[in-house]
Amino acid sequence: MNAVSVLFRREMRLAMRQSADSVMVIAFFVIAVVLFPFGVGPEPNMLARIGPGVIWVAALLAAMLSMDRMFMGDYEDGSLELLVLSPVALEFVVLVKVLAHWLTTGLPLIVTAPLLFVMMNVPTEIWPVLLMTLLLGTPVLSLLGSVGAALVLGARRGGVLLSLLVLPLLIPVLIFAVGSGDAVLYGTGAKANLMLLGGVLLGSLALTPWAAAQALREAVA
Amino acid sequence: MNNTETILSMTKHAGYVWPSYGIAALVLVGLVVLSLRALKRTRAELERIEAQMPRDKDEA
Amino acid sequence: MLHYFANPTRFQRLSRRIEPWLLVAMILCFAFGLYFALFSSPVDYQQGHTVRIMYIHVPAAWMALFCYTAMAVAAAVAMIWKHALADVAAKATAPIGAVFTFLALVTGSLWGKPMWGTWWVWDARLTSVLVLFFLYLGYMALRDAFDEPGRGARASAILVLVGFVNVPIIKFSVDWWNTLHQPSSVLRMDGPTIHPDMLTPLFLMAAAFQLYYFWLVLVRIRRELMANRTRALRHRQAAA
Repeated sequence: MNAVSVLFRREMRLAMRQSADSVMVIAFFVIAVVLFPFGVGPEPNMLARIGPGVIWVAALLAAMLSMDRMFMGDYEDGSLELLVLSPVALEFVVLVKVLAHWLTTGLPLIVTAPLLFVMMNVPTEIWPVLLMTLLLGTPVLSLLGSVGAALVLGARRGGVLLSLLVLPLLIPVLIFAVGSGDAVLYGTGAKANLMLLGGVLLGSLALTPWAAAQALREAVA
Repeated sequence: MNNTETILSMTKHAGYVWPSYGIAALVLVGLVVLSLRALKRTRAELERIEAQMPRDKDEA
Repeated sequence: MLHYFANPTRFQRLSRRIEPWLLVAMILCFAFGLYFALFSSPVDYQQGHTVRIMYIHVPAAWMALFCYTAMAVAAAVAMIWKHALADVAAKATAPIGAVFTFLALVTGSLWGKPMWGTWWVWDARLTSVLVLFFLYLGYMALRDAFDEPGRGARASAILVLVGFVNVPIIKFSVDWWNTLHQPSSVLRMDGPTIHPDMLTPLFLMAAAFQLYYFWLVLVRIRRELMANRTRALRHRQAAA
């Protein structure tokens, strides 16, 4: 466990040094959402209607931006080989990396989201539910992203390829998350959606570290 | 079952039925042509390389 | 059993012996299937002649799922037992599966226009087949993205298996998403129960597509094995 915490502190130190990355992700998130009123018109009811979906799609794309760097640095400087050979199970290494990615990408997205709720005129009664979906959904982005990021190590055009691989797999997250907001507005309650989203989170928490670890072993083999 | 009612009388929907069969034929035959052409090209290349090699030890 | 056919030379010999039979059976199925589908099957009382699109569309959709399952099984065998032939089979299957998925989408669109009045609806089935198409494209793109072919093979095998777990979830979420937003009564395709006379062309065409797959996958596997051997000989040539 000690080794895991050492690894975690190393990851966070590296992330802090690269804090410009987090800022870029946030900037992209805000700009992508801000483009929509220009594209579809500033009519408040329409913005309120499409707001949750637009914000979620923008969050998905923003999270993709930093995804391919999850293992890239370690792969290029050779420390990935040491991590694969280290006594700590590679699955735990993946989980630490995912946690670091979520803290530097998912969490800032959640913190910024209320600002965009205001700008998109999202009704206040669904704010808590939407924040809850972001809290449950963004870790899934990091988890599935870790598999994609490990798979494309050493590939040509890895960044674009990563989006092609991961985005289709993230459709359920998008559907359940935006469905939660709609369910509150229709008065049916968001419980079912949030449970499904939680289920997706638990499922990917259990399965993706194995797949990502296997992909990492192949990458350095 | 009405045998007299054939494709010739499809008139109203012929514009949707025929393209469906046409596109199906096109892509299915197209994939076969591409696969066979690749097979032929690869075989020619393999034979060319094998001719250059001493044949004794690579009989796997 | 698995190891017996792992030998490329033995596989090639066996494959060449089976292929002509598959080809003949496929052509027969296509001939009879097309005859029944286009000339000798009843017209649906609601859908008119557009029902004939079903004989392409439904078998293509079945094959789209079949090919993905076959790819996932082959990828699992390749990963667990390091079975080289299974990996080649997965690679040879991907383009065929992508073509069937494409066909299912295009014929679905051509069927949708006269039936629903629009080329594309965000119907649950259409949408999940579209996602399946993206998964095929992703597999092929990942497989080709590496300079070392072995790395592409192993990475894409993991992707297929991750996708295989996720496909039912996507399917289920999309079904659920659609019912929330749109009335399903308009889009339901299984409205009229199927006429027994329609089953003959449907099954014949399904058999023809299945035989097409088996024949073509054998041809493509033989090609891949030859390409592998060519590559190996090149390496030896370069080393010598």
